[in-house]
Order: sequence, then C-alpha cells, then structure tokens
Amino acid sequence: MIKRIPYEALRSAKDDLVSLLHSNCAHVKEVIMSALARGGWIDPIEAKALARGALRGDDPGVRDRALETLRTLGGRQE
Amino acid sequence: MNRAEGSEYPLFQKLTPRLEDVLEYWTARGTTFKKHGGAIYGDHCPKCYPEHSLVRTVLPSPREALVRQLGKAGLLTLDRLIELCNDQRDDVKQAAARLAATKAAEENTISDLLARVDPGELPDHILCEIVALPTDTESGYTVAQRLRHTASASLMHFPLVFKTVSDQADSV
Repeated sequence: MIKRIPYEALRSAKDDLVSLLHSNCAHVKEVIMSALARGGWIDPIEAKALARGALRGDDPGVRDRALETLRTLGGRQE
Repeated sequence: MNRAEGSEYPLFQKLTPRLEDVLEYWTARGTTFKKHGGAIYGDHCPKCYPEHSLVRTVLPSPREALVRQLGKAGLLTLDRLIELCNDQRDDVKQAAARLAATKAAEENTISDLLARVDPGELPDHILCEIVALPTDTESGYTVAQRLRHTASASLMHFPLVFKTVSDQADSV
C-alpha cells in the first residue's frame, strides 16, 4: 500500500531538526546545516540566521556547510 | 517495471505476506560466490577487495527488492526497518532508511525518530533520508535559491553543472 507522504511532516518536526544543530556529532550538524539550504520546512530568514551563527563554530565541516547554505540562500533577491 | 514492484497483480498481493520468509531465507543463505567459494553476506567479496575499497563489484541479491516490497505493503515495522538500516548490504541499508523516513512521516513520528539520533541509536543515513523527504514547494524559498541548492548539491561531482546552474540562478 503506497500512501502519500504529508508535506507538512518535516515542518512539524522543525524544532527537533533545529535542535540537532547542537548535537555532539559533527556529521549530524552538517546534515542539518545542508538541509537548511533545501528549505520547505523552515523559513529562509531563520535558516540564514542559523547558518550565520554556525560560521563561528568549532567544526570546519559545519562551517563549510554553513557557508554553502548562505551562498544558496543569498542572491539578488536579498 | 520491476517485477518486485508489480503490486497490482492479485497473485503478488496474495504472496506478499510470505515475502518476509523469503527475506529471512536470503539473509541466512547469503550470495554464492564461485571464485572464492562459500556464501557472501555483505555486498562484495572481502577476499577480492580491501575493506575500504572505493571500487568493487557488488554481488547480486534479491534482498533490497524484498525489503522495498515489504515496506510498500506496510509489513515492516519501524523498529524492523531501523534494524535493517544496519544490514551488511548497502542497498538494503539505503532502502530501509528511505522506508523508515517515509513511514515516520506517514505516522507523524518524525520527532520521536529524531530524538533517537543524538544518543547514537539511529544510523546517520536515516537522518539524511528524513531531511530529503518531500516538502511543500510554497515555502518562501525563491526559484534562485532552489537552483543554487541544486547546484551546490552537484558541486562535488559535476563542477560544470554547478557553474551553469549557478549562472542561471543569478539571472533569475
């Protein structure tokens, strides 16, 4: 039986996803940071603020992902 | 169409509940590999390739198709899918992770699943599948932002695609 995946599923778990940015595992933080750029579950302005905040973090991988996210969310519209 | 996905056939629907037995059979049986003899339970022969070899021949097995069909039929619980995410075969892990994320979305239990990520109870690739779940396109993200994300995701493997799509994004 194939069911339709509810689009709001991710949005309803937004707070839990964002809280994983404070995970002890760098890879988990990188996955969430990249997901901010994909959107659909978080407001772009909030996503940018979170990415900016991660730019001063300790982990270089997370900083890279934050930079990519900001590059994705940036542009002429801003 | 893949035969394993032919769920519209009545005979297939009748047989689907028995596929769990078939999956167990193939899990115990493994894949026969004549070159070095014996059964292989992972997706490659450990005698032919070093542990972290990037290039390797994947041995065929029907287990990934069986997991997909059982998952689509709703015959695998979330716990069983999570267990399969630690399988020895990468294709089974991938299919199980995708099904687990989809099932959690359908049952509105994503938050419960996410609570298990940080203590290390869940494999990382489930998280990757969760954040890849389809979302509403009317989310406030512009076309240019979406194009840049596509370009960024393909940057590692296709630098030319990145440049082309990125240029398109700037012109939107």
